[in-house]
Amino acid sequence: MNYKFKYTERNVARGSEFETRALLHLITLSKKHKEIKYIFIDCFNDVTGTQENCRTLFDIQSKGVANLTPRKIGTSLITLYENSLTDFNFSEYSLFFPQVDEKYVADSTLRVFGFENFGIRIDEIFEGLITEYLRRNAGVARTDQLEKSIREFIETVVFVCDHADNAEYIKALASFKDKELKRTEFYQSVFDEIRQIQMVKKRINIESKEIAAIHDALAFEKHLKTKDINALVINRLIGVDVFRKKSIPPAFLDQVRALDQEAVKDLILDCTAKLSKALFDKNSKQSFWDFLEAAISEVDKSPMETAERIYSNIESTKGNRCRYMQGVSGIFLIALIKEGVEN
Amino acid sequence: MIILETGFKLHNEAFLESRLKNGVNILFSDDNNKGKTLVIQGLLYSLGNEPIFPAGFDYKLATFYTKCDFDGNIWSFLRSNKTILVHGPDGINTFDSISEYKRFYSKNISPLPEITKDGVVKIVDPELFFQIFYLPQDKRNTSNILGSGYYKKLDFIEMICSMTNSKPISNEVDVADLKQQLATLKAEKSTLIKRLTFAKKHPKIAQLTQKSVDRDAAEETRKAIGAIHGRISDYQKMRNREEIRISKLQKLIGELNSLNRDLTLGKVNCADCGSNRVVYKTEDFTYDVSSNTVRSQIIESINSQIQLKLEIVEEITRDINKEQAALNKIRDATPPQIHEILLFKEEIATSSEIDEKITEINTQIDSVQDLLATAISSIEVQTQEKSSIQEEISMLMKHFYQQIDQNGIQVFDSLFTKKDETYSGSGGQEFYFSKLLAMNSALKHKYPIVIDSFRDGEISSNKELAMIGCYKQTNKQVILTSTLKSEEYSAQKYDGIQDVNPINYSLHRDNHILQSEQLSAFSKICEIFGVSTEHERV
Repeated sequence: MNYKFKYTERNVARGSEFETRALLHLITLSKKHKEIKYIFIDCFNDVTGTQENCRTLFDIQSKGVANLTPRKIGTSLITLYENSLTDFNFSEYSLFFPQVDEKYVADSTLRVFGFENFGIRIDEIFEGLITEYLRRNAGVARTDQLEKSIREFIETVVFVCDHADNAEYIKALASFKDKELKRTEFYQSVFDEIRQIQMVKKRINIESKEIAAIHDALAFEKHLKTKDINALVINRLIGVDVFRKKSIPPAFLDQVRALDQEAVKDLILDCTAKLSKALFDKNSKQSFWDFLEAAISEVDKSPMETAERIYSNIESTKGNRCRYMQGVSGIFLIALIKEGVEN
Repeated sequence: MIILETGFKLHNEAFLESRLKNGVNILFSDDNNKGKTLVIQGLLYSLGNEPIFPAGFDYKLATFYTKCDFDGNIWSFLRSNKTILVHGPDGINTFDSISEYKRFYSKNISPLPEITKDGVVKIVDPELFFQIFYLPQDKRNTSNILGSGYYKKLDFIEMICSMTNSKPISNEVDVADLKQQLATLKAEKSTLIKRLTFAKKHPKIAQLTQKSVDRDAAEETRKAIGAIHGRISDYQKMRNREEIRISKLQKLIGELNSLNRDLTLGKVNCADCGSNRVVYKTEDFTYDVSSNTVRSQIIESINSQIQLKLEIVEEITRDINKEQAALNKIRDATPPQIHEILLFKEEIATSSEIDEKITEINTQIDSVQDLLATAISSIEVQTQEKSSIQEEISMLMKHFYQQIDQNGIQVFDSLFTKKDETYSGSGGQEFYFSKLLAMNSALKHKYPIVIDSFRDGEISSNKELAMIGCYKQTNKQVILTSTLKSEEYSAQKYDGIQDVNPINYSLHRDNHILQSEQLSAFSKICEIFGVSTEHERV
């Protein structure tokens, strides 16, 4: 059976910040976040992650509405439930919503919990969902079988409370040293960038299009790659420190060992100048991103390699078209990444 | 502390002494060269003493071992050259220097006293500390402490004061220093006074007689000017470099601003609706190469770097100006023809200038004299404290001396004898006997008394028995060595004395205490320390 896209929210800009937090939760804090390589925006649901090979889907419904009652929560589960009825392999269903009133839950300190936390209130959730389901599917009768199906579904849902701190979500994103030292505005600006990009993806209209397999959805370009988001954060972290750093990154020491102090200062100045040019030049952004992503993935893959070796590996395998990152300045950027990445 | 076992190993042979008991032990033999001294010295060496082995014994290749009981805790020590391994209740510790070792020892095994040496509070080295309970056979000197020369008599006294909780005592370096300063100042003053009178009487001669040193002085001026020129040119180089960097950064800002413009070659409008908001759908879609926050941060940082570098340049300029001023001063001071003479401006300074200098020196002399008086009076207070513990020890020394020689004529008024006092015959041995026992009583230390060759200097048999009696009365472990005359040996002299543990060394071969049979026992001990002995250098 094919999957038909309905109820996408392409025109709803409101709550987009909330959806960005849902996205960041998915790729930083959810149980399987390390597996997730692609995130579909407003395709299957608000945010839906999948692996490199598109094996299963991690589905998130975000509901940025204040004062949710259990019944409204039940109503909000409709897309997740309908997804569970398809032939597509959904491996996790999450509802991402603001902190609910503590009278509805047994333990209000939990950020992530299962249906048990709602105690007897779970019946109201059940009613909310079944009512919404019947409303959407006119002519379907309320049978025992349907009730059983919905009850079983609710038991699988992961409920996630938002903590509303944009900076914290960004910090969780990149395992980069010194990230605590930036001003809040910095994190907010990175957050806003991700939100912008998410909104662009959201605007792509696929209403009523059908796909036969998960990977078909990639053709719509309505997804983000986790490695891109990671690269974005590392890029911004490095960028904001260019010309502010006083020390030489340890992995760069090999390049300066033979030089006297003044020559070292000049070399570092040249490298930072080139790096800042790369960060300013809008017209060669693709080549810079390619180099940055290659550098991040190579550093990640072989943490023991020297910056120089990583540079020549990139040149021989993927090539380096960025004119600012040729030779020693490229090695300098790699050294900065090596210094920042936490092992 | 009780010594339970000690021994050493060299090449493929070893010796292990495990016959020691609490109480009085006498290691004896019928002849010299049976190894008693090696055992005693090895014992102290393994505990951290300085090496004082007899010539011909290559202690650097040997391994020394001792096992002790400190208030019920068993500690073992294995030493090879500078490395000491300590095996205690909490496992094995390794030390590559005595400094490290003594800190550990003082903290974990048994506290060592602290003294002030060269103005620094330090833990005393075992070399000094062991002298409160140990007397070696050789290099004895009643007028001084034993050993390397790093420690002085005063340090020993201070250590004893420190052990009896007297106040830490500062050495007399201060006083010596101040005295030196005072002497210099006085000498300076007297030269100035001489010059004052000389300049007054013969102003012309004062100038002319200096001719002989003129050339040297001129050379010095030249050197000084050269050095200043050198520094100025270094500063200028530094300034140039910074200025180049500033201009690079300024250029960079301009370049960055121009780079961040999109190349807009015409406009893309949607053919359907005319909107210029066309959303691309390509794999090429990527994030901006940087964000506004990042870009403004970069520009801000570059600007602050420029600012910083401008300040550096300013500072360098100030430095250059200073150097130039110095240069001008030299030039002003040296008109071409008579600059040699003017170099001696000081020598022919006006009498008023010399007057000023003398007044200045007088003030300095006053203040140094004040300091000196304070230092001396504080030392007097300390000396009184010193003498109280020293007096106690002296009294005890007299007491013990009387135990062995009721009619003795020796007088003990200090822990050390005067330099010109020499003891004949057994006198020195009696002095040491009294001193070690007196320190044992006064300091109440927990260490055994160890005397290598306790009958040194032909002590009479009666005195010897009296001494042994005194040792027994200490109720602690005492380790003595003695070489017996053949008639004493055949009479089995020590076997008959009650409560003495005689340990016979006579059966060892001459000059060869080590035995290959004991090697395996010693190797087992080494294994406890995790030391393999299989690949021993031979």
